[in-house]
Amino acid sequence: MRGLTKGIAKPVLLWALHFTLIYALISAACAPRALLGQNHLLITAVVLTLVMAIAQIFWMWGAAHTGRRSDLNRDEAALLRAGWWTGLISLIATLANLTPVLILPGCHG
Amino acid sequence: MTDRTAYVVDLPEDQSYSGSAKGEPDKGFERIWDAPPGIRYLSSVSHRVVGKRFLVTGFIFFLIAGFLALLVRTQLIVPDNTFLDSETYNQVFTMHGTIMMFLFAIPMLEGFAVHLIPLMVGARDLVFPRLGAFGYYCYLFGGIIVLSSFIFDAAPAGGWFMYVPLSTSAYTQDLSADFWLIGITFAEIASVTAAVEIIAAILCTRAPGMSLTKMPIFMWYLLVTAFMIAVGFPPLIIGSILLEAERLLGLPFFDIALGGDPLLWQHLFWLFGHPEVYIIFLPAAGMVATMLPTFVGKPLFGYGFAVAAVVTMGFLSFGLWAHHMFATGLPVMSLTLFSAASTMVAIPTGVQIFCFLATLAQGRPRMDVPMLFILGFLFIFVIGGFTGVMIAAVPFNLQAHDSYFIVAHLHYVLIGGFIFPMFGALYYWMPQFTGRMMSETIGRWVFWLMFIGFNIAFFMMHLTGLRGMPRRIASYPEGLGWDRLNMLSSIGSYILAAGVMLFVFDFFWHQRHGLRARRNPWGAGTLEWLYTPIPPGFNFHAIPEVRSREPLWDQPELLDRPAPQVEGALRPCTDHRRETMGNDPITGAPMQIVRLPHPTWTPLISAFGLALGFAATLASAYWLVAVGFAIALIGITAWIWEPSDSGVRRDSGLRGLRLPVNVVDPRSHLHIAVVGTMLISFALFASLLFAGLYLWNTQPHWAETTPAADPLMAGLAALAALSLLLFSWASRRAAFGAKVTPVIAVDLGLAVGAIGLGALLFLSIQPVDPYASAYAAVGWALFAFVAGYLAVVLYWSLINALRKAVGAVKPGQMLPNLLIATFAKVVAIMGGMTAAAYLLAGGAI
Ligand code: HEM
Ligand SMILES: [Cu+2]
Repeated sequence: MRGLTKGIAKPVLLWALHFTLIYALISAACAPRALLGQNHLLITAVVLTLVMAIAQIFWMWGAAHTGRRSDLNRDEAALLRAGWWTGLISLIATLANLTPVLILPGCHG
Repeated sequence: MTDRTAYVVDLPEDQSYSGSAKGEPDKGFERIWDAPPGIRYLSSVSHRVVGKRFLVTGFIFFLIAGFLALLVRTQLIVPDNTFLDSETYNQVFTMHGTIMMFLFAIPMLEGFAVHLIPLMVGARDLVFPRLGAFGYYCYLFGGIIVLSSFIFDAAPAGGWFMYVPLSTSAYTQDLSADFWLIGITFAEIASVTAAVEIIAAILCTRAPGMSLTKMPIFMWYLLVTAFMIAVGFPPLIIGSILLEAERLLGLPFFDIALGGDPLLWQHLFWLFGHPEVYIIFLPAAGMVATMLPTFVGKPLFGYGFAVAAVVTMGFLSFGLWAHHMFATGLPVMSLTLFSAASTMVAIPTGVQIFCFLATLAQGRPRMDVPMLFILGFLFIFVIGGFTGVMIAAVPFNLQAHDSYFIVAHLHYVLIGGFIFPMFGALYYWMPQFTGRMMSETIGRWVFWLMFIGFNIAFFMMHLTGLRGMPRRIASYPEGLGWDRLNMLSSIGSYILAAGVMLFVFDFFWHQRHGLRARRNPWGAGTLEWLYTPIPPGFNFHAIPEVRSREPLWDQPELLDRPAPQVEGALRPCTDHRRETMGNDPITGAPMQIVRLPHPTWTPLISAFGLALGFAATLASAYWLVAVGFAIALIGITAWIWEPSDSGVRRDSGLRGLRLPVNVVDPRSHLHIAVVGTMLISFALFASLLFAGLYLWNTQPHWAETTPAADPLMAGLAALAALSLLLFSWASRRAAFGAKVTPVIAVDLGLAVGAIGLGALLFLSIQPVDPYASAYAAVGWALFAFVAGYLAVVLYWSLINALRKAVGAVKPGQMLPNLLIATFAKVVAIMGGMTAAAYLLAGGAI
């Protein structure tokens, strides 16, 4: 059960990390210090998003797989379902974090 | 988690092991739990007493802030009104917003949490009763400080978000901003202590068998809320301390002339401010999720969905803060990021509303008064959510910014999302507080007055906003097309107020004439209704085993006999102490017996000392500040200097299961509380780091011209941090052992490590002048912050050593060594990170 409980927290923690990193990348590129060029920003953000989205999809797949087992009790099933939906919402939100970098040509639109 | 088991002795029941008090041998179970009579009532720490204090005080603040709102509406009822002058108007709306957000909404939900958590999870009291009492007094004194500004004619007038530069000394010369900053920060201590308390209570003191997913859904909401408070309040606490330091000491954190940045305040404020909205909304939604099944007669639809929704909402709501800063000229790309996240949070919110609607669809709900308020909530909140999605779009936001459209939106969300569920909850749980039912007839009037009044008052504001009326204006000229709408808004607000007053009347009326509540009056499924709600001092004669999410529906053995005869744990009260069951946080399996404190004055004394210290800061009486904080320190020392209860096993009363008392284990309630505290501490630290990074990034020139910290000393400080880490590790190991006296060396090692780290950090920051630039001042703030924590490590480790030296610690009683190990470990990490930051900023690595 400990693992299933972690399964609820993991995907959304990953979203938080992703959001923080994207925010940091945008801030690095768009603030007066201008640490990062637009191309670097785009490439880093895309790679980051892909890696994290794949991890989230992998966890959801794992949860769906566990869900087919017959020896789960009610407690475990509820945790599992919560974990899967957390995963789905986090995945969509992770992809949404990438949109500004993807659709805007530069920091100021 | 470790697998190490701690040293425990197994002694027969009649032998006491340590100096630990045997309790009150002349008293039986019920007398032990009685609230003390007379003036000593103030020393009560029971969750029922403290919870009611929070609820009553919070509601009084609601009435005060509501009265201020009526003053606002009366001023705006006709054009060119002269009822309030503009300075007073500024004070009135600022205090309205401030009191509603800080002194009403948060404390009110804490009141519900404090009162209901133990009853719903099957505990006899909150896990840290003294901390709860302490938090209440901090809130009360903080609230009094904020309110007293009216008496000194120095009420804050800068809006509830206290933007700089308006709130700096240059533009607010009187004390009004100081009243706000000090009073609110003080009240926030109550909120973060409550967060720790809620986390530990829900995770560690549930009834035997109550696994995470057998908890009432309300507990998930409260758990997530508590974590959000732990991470969300620190940015504002840090922001307020920095601003107060600027006002008091002249440190230039937000001063543009010295490389400060007013936007830094906005970031810190809204990093708190947006999660705050969800902190207010989530518990209210949790109450709805608890009440709804009772009236529909079916369990909540989709428990798992709801859990997923709450957890994701808790996280996503932290990614929205800058949507309050759309009009500040931030780069469009960042704005779009926040816009995207703001839209995303609608998904879990929608999932949750869907769970409510699906539950409703499962049956025909009974239309009792709480149910009316639930429907009112759904109607109003959905409209508020809809306008929320509108203003999450940057172009529309720029149009609606600072207009009455925003005032309408925020009240639809806050009143719909909090006030309506809260009134429903008050009607629903009132029997728990007073033992009587409130009136169904009057309740219907209350609801319809509030519902109609609210919609008249605030729907119009959308239109006034779209017609261009800005918020926070004290009067407006005739003929702009705003006159009639404002008139209607004001009339609506009077109708709303009439509903609230009728509720107050109903409350007093029901205390005399209300029907005495039967056992489980609403036919609910959750544990708090097990006993007939005539408020006793105690909670459970025996704590029942729980096998279902709705135990009262699914476990017939609970309701087929008088509640005091229900089987369960801890019926024999052998040691005549207050105690409850402690469980494994996840599975709910019984793990320990938790000893709880009896009434004590220490929380009141400590909070009073702090209040004195803060009030004296306002009055610039610095010797009194010292006296106040000394009193607080004495109070806290007396509080923690109690005999340890650990080290023995006792019969749990469950099929002969013998459990350790206050077990030495990382899953212990005390250790979980330390982890929670360190989460808060790290969030505070991270807020400071954010400030430094932000200035480094946005004001590169100032970062380059600030002199570097001494690299040699900073390097040595990093080593000192490492040694502190090593001693923490040793302390953790020692906690599980049987030897006592040799561990004094470890305690002293921690003390020396703390001193060394503090001294080296101090030496390394010497080349930097805190008054030279905002960036430099943040460097010093980091030092001061870590030094404060090191002082705690020092004081605590010396106390631990002293207790061992005087023989107050027996084998198996070294829980404090486990606790300080985790504490010092995080402090060492913060110290090490500070040293690294000094090295990096100076370009040494
Ligand atoms: C009881 C009925 C209420 C009425 C009639 C009311 C009325 C108002 C009005 C007219 C304003 C705008 C003042 C201005 O911009 O000039 C306002 C602002 C505000 N209200 Fe309320 N309100 C009520 C309840 C609440 C509640 C329950 C909350 C929060 C839990 C709340 C939080 C706020 C906040 C945060 C502001 C912004 C203050 C500022 O601009 O600094 N209000 N209210
Ligand atoms: Cu917001």
